[in-house]
Amino acid sequence: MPNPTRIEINCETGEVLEIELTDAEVAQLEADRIAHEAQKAEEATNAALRAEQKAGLLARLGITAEEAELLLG
Amino acid sequence: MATYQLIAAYEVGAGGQSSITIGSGGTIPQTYTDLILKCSLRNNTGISYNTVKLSFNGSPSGSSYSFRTLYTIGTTTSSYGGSSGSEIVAGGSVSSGNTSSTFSNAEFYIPNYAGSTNKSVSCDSVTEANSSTNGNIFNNLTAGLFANTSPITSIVLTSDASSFVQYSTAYLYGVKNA
Repeated sequence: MPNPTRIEINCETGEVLEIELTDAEVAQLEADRIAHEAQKAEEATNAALRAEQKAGLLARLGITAEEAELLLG
Repeated sequence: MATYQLIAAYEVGAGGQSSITIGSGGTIPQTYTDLILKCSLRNNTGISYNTVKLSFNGSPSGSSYSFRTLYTIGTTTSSYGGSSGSEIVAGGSVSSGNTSSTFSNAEFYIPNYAGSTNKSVSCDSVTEANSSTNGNIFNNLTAGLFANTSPITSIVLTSDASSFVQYSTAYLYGVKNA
């Protein structure tokens, strides 16, 4: 199976070149993808944790989210 | 009166492309005052809220780029940024998990690209993700800086560790008398 490709456009001639990525570039792309997925997963975990903490705090205070907004507004 | 002229246009074909370089070999004409890059993008990763990355005059490298993005996901607004990086993260790209056949709208404005001072970039973009399981609308407003006094002669457009899929488009315009 061929490697993915990238495009290069020459603005003077209008020539469009489709260039196959090298094995090293493919490996870097895959490493970047894994790192990107890990970062997104961490962000989702942090967001869920924050939402849980917020819900817990509201429950302890005995107020709704709308009432909390009124207090802070 | 400002005039816009199309410099280059590209539509991704079947199989996708990992990056799009406009002006390979430094061939963006230096005869305009500003550049506008208009894109409609979709990528092949299932991760929501993917961004588009921009670099100039060669592959992403060095540490000359900084940016700050104000973004909204659904009703939540926040920001992120970077400094001394190898590219500007600006704008969104619809992911494969989002509504099928939808693409982002993204516009990059690069004033005084041929001058001998550092280069600024602004971008606004939106992606639609009408999905209860994979996100919401993703709005981006970005201000970026390419701390380099060389003229911009080529632009590289990449996505978050993924490829742009078929029918994604990029159009570069030169603006005179802006």
